[in-house]
Amino acid sequence: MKFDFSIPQRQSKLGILVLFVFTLQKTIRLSIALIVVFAMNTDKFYGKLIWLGVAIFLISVFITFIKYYYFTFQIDYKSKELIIEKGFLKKSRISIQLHKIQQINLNQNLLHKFFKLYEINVDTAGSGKKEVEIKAVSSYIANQLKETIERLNETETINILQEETVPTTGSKTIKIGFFTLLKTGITSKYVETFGWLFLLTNTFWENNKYINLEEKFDTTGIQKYINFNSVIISVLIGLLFIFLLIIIINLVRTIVRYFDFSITKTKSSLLLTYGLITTRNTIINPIKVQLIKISQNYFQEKLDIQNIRVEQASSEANSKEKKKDRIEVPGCSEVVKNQILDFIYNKEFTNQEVYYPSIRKFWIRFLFLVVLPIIVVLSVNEFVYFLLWEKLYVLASLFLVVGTLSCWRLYKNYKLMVTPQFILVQSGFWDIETAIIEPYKIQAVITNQFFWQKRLNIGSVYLYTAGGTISFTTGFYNQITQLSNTWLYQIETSSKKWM
Amino acid sequence: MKEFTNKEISISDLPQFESVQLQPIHPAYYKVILINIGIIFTLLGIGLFALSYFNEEIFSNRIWLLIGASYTVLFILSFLFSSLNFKFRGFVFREHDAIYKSGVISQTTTIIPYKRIQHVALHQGLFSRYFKLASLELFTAGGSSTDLEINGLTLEDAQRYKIWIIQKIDTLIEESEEDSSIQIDVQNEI
Repeated sequence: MKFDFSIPQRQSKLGILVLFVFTLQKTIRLSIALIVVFAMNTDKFYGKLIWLGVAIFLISVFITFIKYYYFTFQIDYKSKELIIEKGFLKKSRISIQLHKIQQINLNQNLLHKFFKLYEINVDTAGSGKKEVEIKAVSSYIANQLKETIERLNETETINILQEETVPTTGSKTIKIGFFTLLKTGITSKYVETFGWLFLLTNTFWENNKYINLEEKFDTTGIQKYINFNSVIISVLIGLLFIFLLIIIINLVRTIVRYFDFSITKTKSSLLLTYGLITTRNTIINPIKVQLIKISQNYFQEKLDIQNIRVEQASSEANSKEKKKDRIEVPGCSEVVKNQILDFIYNKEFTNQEVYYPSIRKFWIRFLFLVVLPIIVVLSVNEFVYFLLWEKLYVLASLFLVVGTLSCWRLYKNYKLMVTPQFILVQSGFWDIETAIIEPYKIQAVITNQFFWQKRLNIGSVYLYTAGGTISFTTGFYNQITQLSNTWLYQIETSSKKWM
Repeated sequence: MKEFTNKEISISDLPQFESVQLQPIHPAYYKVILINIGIIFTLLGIGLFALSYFNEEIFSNRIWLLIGASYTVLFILSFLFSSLNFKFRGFVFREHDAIYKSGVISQTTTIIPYKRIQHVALHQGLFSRYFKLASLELFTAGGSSTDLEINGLTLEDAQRYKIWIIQKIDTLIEESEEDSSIQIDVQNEI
């Protein structure tokens, strides 16, 4: 039973509700400033607030109507085009040749799920701007459209037919369960979330100036509390609070973002589907993969989870598209990680040679991150006596011990691993990150040496790919030049396409 | 079937990028650098002079003296530095890649295989044009920090290199297309 798309189709009637919610959301977001101003002074603008609400509602209804009534899609079976017409005052007609369609995604957010509807997302080979979305259609129509386009495409291009003749191993699905996400949420991205939290509070305080929230809170109580405690205890409590907050935020973010994560293997790519509120679909195409970063910390090692980030080459210049090409797979077990790597590379990591940095790497960090700060603080205290010397000495020696150990660990974790097929750089202090690239995907090799490093035979190397850079710094320069020569040889003799 | 050899290659046999003889930049380009430094310092000098002429009280005499001294020192330093910088620059076009070395304090060598070049650009600044110089820039997909720019080639050389590189890229692309068709066959067999 095939649906006939030759007649212009509107979206699903139930979809009107979805469209309405989207529009309402948008209108509210646009008029948020007005709403806030009115709401903050409720007594003055009470009447106006109601009128504002009515206006927003009516505008949304009107826009929804236009969006529904003046939006049609159809397939021209003869010229093999997907045609979309939209617009009330400014009418536009978009036609996409079916063979240019790279991928059709059926997405669902919470609302869609509730009404059993789908959003159709059409990715084209051309510019990123011409991406087409059909907001809300029934699952039957969505699947029919997808099938029809795929069917029409198959007869058109020989390429796909050829692929079809290759016996398929059958698609396999790997799922990342809720419990794993829980583990990942608790153990990862502390620093990232901290930065995010910092930004958030910052913007909050900025906005606070305008809204005058302080008047609405009784801040004297908090101040008393702060005065009452000694500084150190309040700092400790603050840190603990922030740490807990970070863990909770991480947990929620990880679960919302990666809920129901599934990886499906197809013939030539990995299809990832995930998300609680909005379901996302992304594709890992092994040819496009430039750089893979695997990170794992101490807790995660014990729980057998690691995060994988895959950077793909992007033909798009703008950063929004580029972000789309960065894919994260949270909470992979060792087995899943190996499966993914195996699928992308289909090669073994054997014959590994390991290169270590010079001990100077440790001494430089030690000097600048440990010794220098201590000297600065001590000498400042000499002039402006802000802390008792005994206390300062205790703190300084504590800092010395922790700092030295951290520097040592950073130094010990840093290494370059080279196999005939891969280049790996491991680094990190808490989150140990391993970056992997294949030599033939390198775009440029840059080596660097400070003039005083020449005598010491020390230098750095940076390897640029279209999806990111890996570097090995403060290594032995004779090793670096030798390796660079090998890599150049590998690039220049390889006939494989980097993308 | 082509003649087939399969010799074992040891790393020490590979061509070494660090031991190739670099070509220096055309001496006339040093004049361009000096003119640029001259212009910057003249403008700065005029600005300072105007400030002292119209509003002398803004700084005390002592500070004026300090500014004057540091101006001279800075001028001499950038003069010396630019001459060093000029001496340390060099480039070479090998069979398969372009190498550019620069920097005094931090000496950087950039190597771009022709295979990875996306496009080639030829620039000519105002003063460079007067001295019949041009610069050649090679772009890759690795981002802006990998762009290799060689300043101070003679226009003739720059054009010749440009054409040579473009031809090189074209032949490499043809080769790789042939190879890639073979590759697809192999993959299908797997």
